[in-house]
Amino acid sequence: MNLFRKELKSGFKPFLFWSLGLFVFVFAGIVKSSAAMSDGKFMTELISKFPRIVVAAMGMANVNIAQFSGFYAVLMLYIFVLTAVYAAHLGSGAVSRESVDKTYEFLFTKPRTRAFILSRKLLAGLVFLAAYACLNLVFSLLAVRQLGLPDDYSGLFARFSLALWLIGLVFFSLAALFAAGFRAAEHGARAGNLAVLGAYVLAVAYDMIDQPGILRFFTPFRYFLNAEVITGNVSLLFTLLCLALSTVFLLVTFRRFEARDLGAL
Amino acid sequence: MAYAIETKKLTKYYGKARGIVDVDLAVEEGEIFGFIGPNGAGKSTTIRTLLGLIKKTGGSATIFGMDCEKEKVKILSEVGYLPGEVFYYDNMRAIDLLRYSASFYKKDCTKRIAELADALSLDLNKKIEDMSLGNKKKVGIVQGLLHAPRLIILDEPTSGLDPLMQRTFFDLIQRENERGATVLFSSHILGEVQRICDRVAIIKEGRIVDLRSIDDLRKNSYKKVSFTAEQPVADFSLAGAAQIAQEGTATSFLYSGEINALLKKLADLPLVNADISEPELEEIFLHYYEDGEAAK
Repeated sequence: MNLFRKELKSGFKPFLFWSLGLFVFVFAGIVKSSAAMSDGKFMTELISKFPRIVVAAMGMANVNIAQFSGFYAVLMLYIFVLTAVYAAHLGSGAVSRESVDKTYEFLFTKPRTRAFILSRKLLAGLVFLAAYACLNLVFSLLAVRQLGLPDDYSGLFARFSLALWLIGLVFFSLAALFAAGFRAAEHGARAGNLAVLGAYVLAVAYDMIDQPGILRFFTPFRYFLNAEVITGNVSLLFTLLCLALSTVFLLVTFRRFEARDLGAL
Repeated sequence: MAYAIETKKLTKYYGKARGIVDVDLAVEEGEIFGFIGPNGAGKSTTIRTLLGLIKKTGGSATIFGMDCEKEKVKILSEVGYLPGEVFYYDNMRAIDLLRYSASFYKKDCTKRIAELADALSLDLNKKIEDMSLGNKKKVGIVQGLLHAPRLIILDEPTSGLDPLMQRTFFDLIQRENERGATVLFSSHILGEVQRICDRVAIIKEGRIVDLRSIDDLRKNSYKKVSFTAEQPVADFSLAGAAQIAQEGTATSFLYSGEINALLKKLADLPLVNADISEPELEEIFLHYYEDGEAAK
């Protein structure tokens, strides 16, 4: 058994747990969409009476939930947050798991560079993240069949799943960077989770402000706007930004990890 | 020929806290080298620096002539390491862990795993989480030796092993040494260092305070002297005497110096009985620490 396979094996159980959460979210959410759509006018009027901060916090600003695509976009915000938390967990775990479990003296005294070991761990994390995005697509396709809608939503699901992977990638690499930067593992993990929370707050702020300007650059949850994704666009600029940020974060992670003392955290 | 381990002024600070300072070691190939000192003296810091787990602050460290940081991968393929406390992946069986460990080396370790497990009476099919501390330690011994390393680094290796298994362990280490392996044996239990080591370095508060052969340490440096006189000897003193203890008419001390001077001093006393013998390593070791305290 090599290192990469071992990482896949040890990460599989948590992956199943998170996948179960995703399954519940997607199925329950999509099945509930029929109720919202059947009484679309009432729902739209009801939401328009809510304070704007409440609408923004629920991710319902700038979408028409009377349509399935709009409802799915609202659902996806919650799934983005869920994925971001899982991605942060994967990223910080890849860097600090051996120190937390005190198995670092076993693994890091084997004839491999730290970069080799970290790269296999991060690669396993990326595989889980990609599989998670694929499952989102599969669950969405299966759930929407229950509704018997006439339109084909596979393109919409694929675009949102791609966005989900890209957003997850940013939080994955950012959490890895925090884990490599902080001496104590719990501080690194906490910083990763705070980054998710902070980005969510900024996403709400983005929806509340009429002209948010550059605020969009600071919250990955708004890199792929609902209106754009629903109409068939996944922003190339923000796709490249996700990839660039992740590359930079991971490169710094490798440098920090190489320079640090390894020990029990 | 390059030393198996050579450090020159090796220094490690954790922020402002002292780890080790100016550690000079030269371990020859094929020897069993003891490294003794109490907890917190810097033994594990030295070892972890050698293994590249922590980064040195200053000085240099080489293993088989290779720099411990620059050529870490080459070095680690030749090194077997057994830490004081062993932590493994609990949900794995011992055999799976050992196969996983073997997968990092470019050799077939199957036969060695079976031989070592047999010598240690280790059940390889048991899950690690179901094992006692002693059995986990046995797994550690097998994983440290399965690739027949040229250098074996042992950090407090016997904790958790019962006396019978300790004997088996020492036999195993001696067989590895006869095979040609160099051994760095770190411990705070001096009796076990005394048992198998050729030379020993004593570390105190991060610095090496002495380095000599076990025989030399015991035979040439100190004598354990005790005598009983007819009356109590008030304020006994002698140049070279340390750890002087007096109780009634009995006096005992460690002596380092000219044996004739000692005999002359004793001859002047109204002795009932006298004994001059080799001290236990523990007693010698204590001396280094008391000297240090006195110097303060």
